[in-house]
Amino acid sequence: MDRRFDIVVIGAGPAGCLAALTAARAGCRTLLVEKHKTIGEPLCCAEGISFCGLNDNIPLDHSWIDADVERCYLRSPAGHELQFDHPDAGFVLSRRRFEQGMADLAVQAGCELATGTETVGLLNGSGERFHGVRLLDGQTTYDVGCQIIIAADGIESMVARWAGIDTTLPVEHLDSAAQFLFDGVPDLDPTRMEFYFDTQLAPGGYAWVFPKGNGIANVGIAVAPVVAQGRKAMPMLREFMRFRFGQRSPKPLKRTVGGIPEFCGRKFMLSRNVMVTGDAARLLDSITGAGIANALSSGRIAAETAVLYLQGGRGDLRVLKSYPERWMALRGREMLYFLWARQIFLRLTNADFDAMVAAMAQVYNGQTLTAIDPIDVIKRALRTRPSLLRLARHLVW
Amino acid sequence: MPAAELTLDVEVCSECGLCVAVCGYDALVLRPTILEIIHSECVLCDACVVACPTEALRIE
Ligand SMILES: Cc1cc2nc3c(=O)[nH]c(=O)nc-3n(C[C@H](O)[C@H](O)[C@H](O)COP(=O)(O)OP(=O)(O)OC[C@H]3O[C@@H](n4cnc5c(N)ncnc54)[C@H](O)[C@@H]3O)c2cc1C
Ligand code: SF4
Ligand code: SF4
Repeated sequence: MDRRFDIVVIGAGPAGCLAALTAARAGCRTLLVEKHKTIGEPLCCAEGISFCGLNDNIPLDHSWIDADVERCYLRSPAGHELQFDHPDAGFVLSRRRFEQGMADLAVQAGCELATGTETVGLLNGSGERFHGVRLLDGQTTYDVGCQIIIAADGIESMVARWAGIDTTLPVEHLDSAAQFLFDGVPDLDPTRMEFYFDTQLAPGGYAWVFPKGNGIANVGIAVAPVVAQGRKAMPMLREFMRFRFGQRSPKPLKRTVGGIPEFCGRKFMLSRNVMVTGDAARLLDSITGAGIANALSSGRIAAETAVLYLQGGRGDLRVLKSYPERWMALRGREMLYFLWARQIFLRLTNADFDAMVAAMAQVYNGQTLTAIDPIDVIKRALRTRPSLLRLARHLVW
Repeated sequence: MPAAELTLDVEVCSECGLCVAVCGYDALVLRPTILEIIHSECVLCDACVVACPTEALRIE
């Protein structure tokens, strides 16, 4: 064994960076491993986060923010529009600066950072626990010992599989997404998030325009392959661009694609001394596809629990069980509700979207909302369509 | 006719990892700058081809 640490964190996304920062600040010998040379690249994310999603997990640093969101706009297939002001809605981040910033703080707190280093396996120990990880740095393979492994290796996670968790995602349980970063976006309100619903334009999902300051925006689409009948996200995004921009197509700076798994409950979060966080444990919100805030909270709580294990309950792996429990107590109810609501969302017709947006517009258009309870919004939207309420009652969570 | 095989268009792939998540046979690994296909494990089930948001994967 070349080196020993208390905690090895695999993956420097939002989950891994905050886990490493939390562990290092608590005085644990921590190693953060990232396979790419640069943190935050390549990335496929619209970078939107709510105020609480960020600030409840880590004190806000304004240098991480590209745009302050104060307004939301929704458009239905027939052109019904809903727009309301929401001054504390949240932000569009620069995830590159955000994650690099958290990694820098972790290093200042004593964490060791190994970029350009891939985790290629876990070291099998007594059967009860893994004794470390195998790393590949360019051409050199070496082993590192540790007490706890935090898997924050994103949607492509292998660490959870090596730990014996079958995280295989059925094609019915995901969204497939594509996004362009554009410069010179026409009619861009720098404080407004735009959402477009249409079963032809974005089957089973939606399209978005998120501002990033200076006329730059993330413009993307998510579609559910289960209802898209073979149509792919990337060509559908091009169709949406013609719809949104007409002939005035802005300049693409970057083109990416990505996947959004459905929420899977707590079942992938823990195996022996491997704690699985963020996208690796499929902890996303199944309606909006948001995963940054859950990645942060799961990374933070996993590290806090690991610290408890190392400080007090060393040797007793049962201490680690409070990680999924605490996280589910914090986020589980809302995430399970969204998973249930997604099953209704996938069945919505364009007539449903038109009726819902029109009815909501009558109540909310031009209003200033201070707090929004997402569960309440879904309930209100469903109440506008009796046929959907009936469907909702038939679906079990 | 040669046996069918899963092929990757590296120009089109943006290394997002979605195909890795849907493969139940550990036949795909997202290395730092390329998606690796382990042909000996692949059963040509088509799941990754359907999930990929672009046209990077093909069975031909
Ligand atoms: C198109 C799209 C738009 C989205 N928009 C939003 C949005 O607006 N708001 C929101 O909240 N969420 C959004 N999401 C979801 C969000 O991007 C994810 O939930 C979030 O990135 C998850 O963070 P993470 O830390 O779990 O994983 P990631 O951010 O995926 O980080 C995982 C890290 O692990 C590294 N890694 C993987 N394997 C290894 C290995 N073997 N060894 C070493 N390192 C490894 C990777 O290189 C990567 O850096 C979007 C997703 C998509 C696809
Ligand atoms: S075709 Fe099936 S087995 Fe082969 S790589 Fe794709 S998902 Fe895996
Ligand atoms: S899903 Fe498609 S774009 Fe994403 S890594 Fe796989 S082949 Fe590449």
